[in-house]
Amino acid sequence: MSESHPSFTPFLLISPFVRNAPRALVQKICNHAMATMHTRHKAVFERVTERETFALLIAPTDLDMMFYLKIDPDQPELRPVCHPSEEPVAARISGPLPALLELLQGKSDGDALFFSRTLRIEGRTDLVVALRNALDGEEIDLRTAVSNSFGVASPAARVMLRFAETLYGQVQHDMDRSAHALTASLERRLGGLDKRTTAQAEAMSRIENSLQRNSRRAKPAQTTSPKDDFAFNDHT
Amino acid sequence: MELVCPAGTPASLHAAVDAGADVVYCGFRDATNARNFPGLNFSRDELRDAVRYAHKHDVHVYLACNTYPQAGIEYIWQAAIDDAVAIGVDAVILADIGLLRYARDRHPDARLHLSVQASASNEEAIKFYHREFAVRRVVLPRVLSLEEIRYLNHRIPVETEVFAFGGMCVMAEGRCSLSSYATGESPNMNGVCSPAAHVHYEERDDMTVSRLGDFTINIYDQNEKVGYPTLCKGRFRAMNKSGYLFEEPTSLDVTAILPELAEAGVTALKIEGRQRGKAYISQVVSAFRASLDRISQGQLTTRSSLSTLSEGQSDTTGAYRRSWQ
Repeated sequence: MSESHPSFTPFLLISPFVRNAPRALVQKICNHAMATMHTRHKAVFERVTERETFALLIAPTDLDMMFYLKIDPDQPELRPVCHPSEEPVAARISGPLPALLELLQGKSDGDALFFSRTLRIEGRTDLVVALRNALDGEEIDLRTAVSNSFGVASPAARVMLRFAETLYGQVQHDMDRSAHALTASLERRLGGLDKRTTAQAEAMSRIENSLQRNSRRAKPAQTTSPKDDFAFNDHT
Repeated sequence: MELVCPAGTPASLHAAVDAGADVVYCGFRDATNARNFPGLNFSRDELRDAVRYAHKHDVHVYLACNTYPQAGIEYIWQAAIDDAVAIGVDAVILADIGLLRYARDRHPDARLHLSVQASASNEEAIKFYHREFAVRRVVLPRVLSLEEIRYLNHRIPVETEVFAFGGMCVMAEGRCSLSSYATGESPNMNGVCSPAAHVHYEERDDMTVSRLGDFTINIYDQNEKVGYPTLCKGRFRAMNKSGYLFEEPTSLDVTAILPELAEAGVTALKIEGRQRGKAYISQVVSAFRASLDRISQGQLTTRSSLSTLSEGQSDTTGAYRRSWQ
C-alpha cells in the first residue's frame, strides 16, 4: 500500500507534537474513544460484522501517525501505529483528519470525498463501504461525546471546544491564504504549460489522422477486426 | 412536481424528510432491490419506524422491490411485497412482470409503480403495464429526451417520474449485463452494479488505478476527479485513442431545466443515490426543494451548486437535451 502526501491542514502543524506524545497517553485516548463508540453506537459494529470481523488502517494524511482499527462486535480496538506494515489489515483509508472526522459524523458524503480524491481507499472495498454505510446510519456527534467525557466539567469543555473550533477555522483560513500566495505563480506557469501541451497533443492527433488517411489512400482496403483495435487501457 | 428522494438508512430517511422530500424511497436489506450494498438498507422493523416518522411529517414512503426474482426463491421477493404493504408503504416499485402480477392479485389496493429497471420507454410498453397490472406510475429510463417525455405524457394513462439528479445509466436498464460479465453479479438479479467486493483501488505513485474483477476500469492522474468503477464508465483504448467509449464519469443535474420538465407533464422527480450518505441527501434534497419552491412561485431557477457531490465532480442534463445529436 502506498504512502500518501501530507494534507495542508492545521493538524499538520501539531503533527510533531502528536508524533512525540507518550504512546500510553495516545492509547488511553484511543481506548476511551472506542469504548464510547462501542457503548453508544453498538449497532455500527453489529451491522458491519454481519459478514466478518476485520481490521482497517486509518491513515490521516496530516498526522504523522496511523491507527489500527479492529471492527469486532465484542472487542473492538483502536491503537496508534507508526508504520503501515506493523499490522495486517483488510484495507487502508487515507485522508485529511478533518475529512475523516466529518465522515465519521455523517457531515460529509464519502462518495463525494472519494470523487474529489480527498479520500483514498486501498484493499477490501466492500468492508470499507459496509463501515461507511453503518456509520452513516448512526447519529454520531463528536462535540457532545468529547465534552461529555469531561463529566462535571463538560460545560467548560464545550466552551473550550467551541474556542478550539474557531481557532482551527482561522488557522485553516490563514494556511489556505499562505498556500495560495506560495503557489499562485507556479499554478499560472503550470496552467500555461498545460495549455501548450494540450495544443501540441491536438496538433499531433491531427497529424496522425492525416497520416492515417494518406496511408489508407495509398494502400488497398484491408479487412481488420474491430476487436483487434479494442483493448482495455491497462498500463500495468 | 413531487420530489422523490433516496434513503439507504433510517438516518438518511430522516435527513430526506427534514430537508423537504415529498416522498422517500428505500429497500429491504437483501437482493430484492437494486442497491443491495453491504451495510445498507432497512430491516422490517426499521422500515416500520421509518414509515411512521415519514407519515407524521406528511411524507410518503415507496418501497423499491425492483430486481428480478431468481428461479426457486421467488418467495423472497413476494415476502418483500407482502411485508411492505402490511407496513403501510404508499407504493411498491416493481420491474418483474411475475411480481407485478403477484402484487396486483394479492394486494389489489396497493399502488404499483413501474421501476426504471423495467426499461419501459415507449407508449405501447407503458400501456401494457397499465392494462395488465394497473401500474399507476412509470419511472422513465434515463435515455429519453424532453421531447420524447412530452410525447409520452400526452399518450399514456399513467404518471411519469424522471431522474433529476445523480448517477447516470445509458444502458437498457434491467437488461445490462456488463456487471455480470465482469463479476458474475448484476443489478438485475443481485441488486448490485459493480459489487464492492469486486472493486479494488490501488494508489500507484500519483495515480489511482480502479479495477473491477479482472478489468482495469481507469487510471486517474493526480488531478483527475474519480468516478464509479463501472465498465460503462471505463476509459478504454480503441483505434489508437484512449477515452470514455460509453459514458464519462458525470452526474445528472436537471436544475436548469426544471420548468421544461414541468411543462412536459412530468409528475415526479427522482433523486438517485440510496448508496450515498445523509450529507449528500440533505444537500441535494434541500437544493431541489428550494428550486421547486422558486418555480412554483413563478421565479427562475438559480444555478446548481451541487457539482461537488457529483461523480467526477461534473454534471450534465444527459439525454433530456441530447446536445450531442
